[in-house]
Amino acid sequence: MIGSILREVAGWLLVAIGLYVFFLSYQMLRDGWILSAPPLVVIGFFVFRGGIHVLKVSVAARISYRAHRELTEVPRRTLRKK
Amino acid sequence: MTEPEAEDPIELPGVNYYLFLGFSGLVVLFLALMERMGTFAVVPGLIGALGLATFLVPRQLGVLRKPVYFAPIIVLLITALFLSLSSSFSRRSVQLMDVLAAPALLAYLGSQYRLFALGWSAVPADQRPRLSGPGGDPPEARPPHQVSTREPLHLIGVIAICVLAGQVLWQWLLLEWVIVEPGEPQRLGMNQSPWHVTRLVWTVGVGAMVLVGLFRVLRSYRMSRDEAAMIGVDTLWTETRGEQRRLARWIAWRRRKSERKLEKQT
Repeated sequence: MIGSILREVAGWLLVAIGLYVFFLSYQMLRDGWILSAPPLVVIGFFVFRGGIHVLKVSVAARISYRAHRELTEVPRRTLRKK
Repeated sequence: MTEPEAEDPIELPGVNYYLFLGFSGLVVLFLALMERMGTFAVVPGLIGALGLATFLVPRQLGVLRKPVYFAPIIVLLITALFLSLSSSFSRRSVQLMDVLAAPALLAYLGSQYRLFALGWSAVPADQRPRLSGPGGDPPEARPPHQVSTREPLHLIGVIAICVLAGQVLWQWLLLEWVIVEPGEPQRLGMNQSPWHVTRLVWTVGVGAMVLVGLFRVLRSYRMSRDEAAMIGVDTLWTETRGEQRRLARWIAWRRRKSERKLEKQT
């Protein structure tokens, strides 16, 4: 569970870094660095998409873990009540 | 008690609203373009009217009731051509022509495609022969009971928001744009307009990437348990397929070896 939370935080961090790289590329474009800005956009794209992938996997892991816990804990509770 | 569904889509109350909205859009578009293009401004109006008029033809004249799918595309292209002929990229002020033409065109396009969806299908159906039939897919019209009388109002709201957002974006694109000063030599042989286009490409491209990405994140947070399980299995396979293949090969080799040994013993 801790692992999936850490992954989620890392995913959001990567998404934020990707957005920052996009912002840097925009600043370069604004300052007239028209040939240097596109490679930065490509880098930002990979970082951003990587972050989204990590987020997706971590959220899926968290949901699966929660489902597994509910499946295993509910029968235990009903057994205890009986 | 629910009302019986109208057999002919023309009889739906929503159709009349969309026809009114579409024709009003064409009239306003004609007035907006007439300022610069004169009599030629009637061309997109006539082609657009041809597309809308299909919904005025009664069922008895079925031959004439066919969707004119090319009409909105031609209207869009001609309007874009007329607007590009009569405006420049580097202007700063909001021009009345744009403020009138943009919502008028959107109103026509929105109404036209919703009418297509009600009568036949929003886009032309695939005509390639299939196993189920040589004529291709039949058009899938929108179920009439889904059409509410408030829909055109929502469409008008969306159009107003889009036009406002477009104007804000356009002003932002032109803001503080001092790449090439009047006295400065041109950089990379470009003047102001290509720089504006570059900035527009960046905004649209990166903006689309960021929007799509954020919607993907939103979709991840709304996934069901089954989807989560599927993504987990898929990711496990993607990340460990090399190891899994190697292990499976070793297991198969060991199994075949033991089978051969058993065969020899028997």
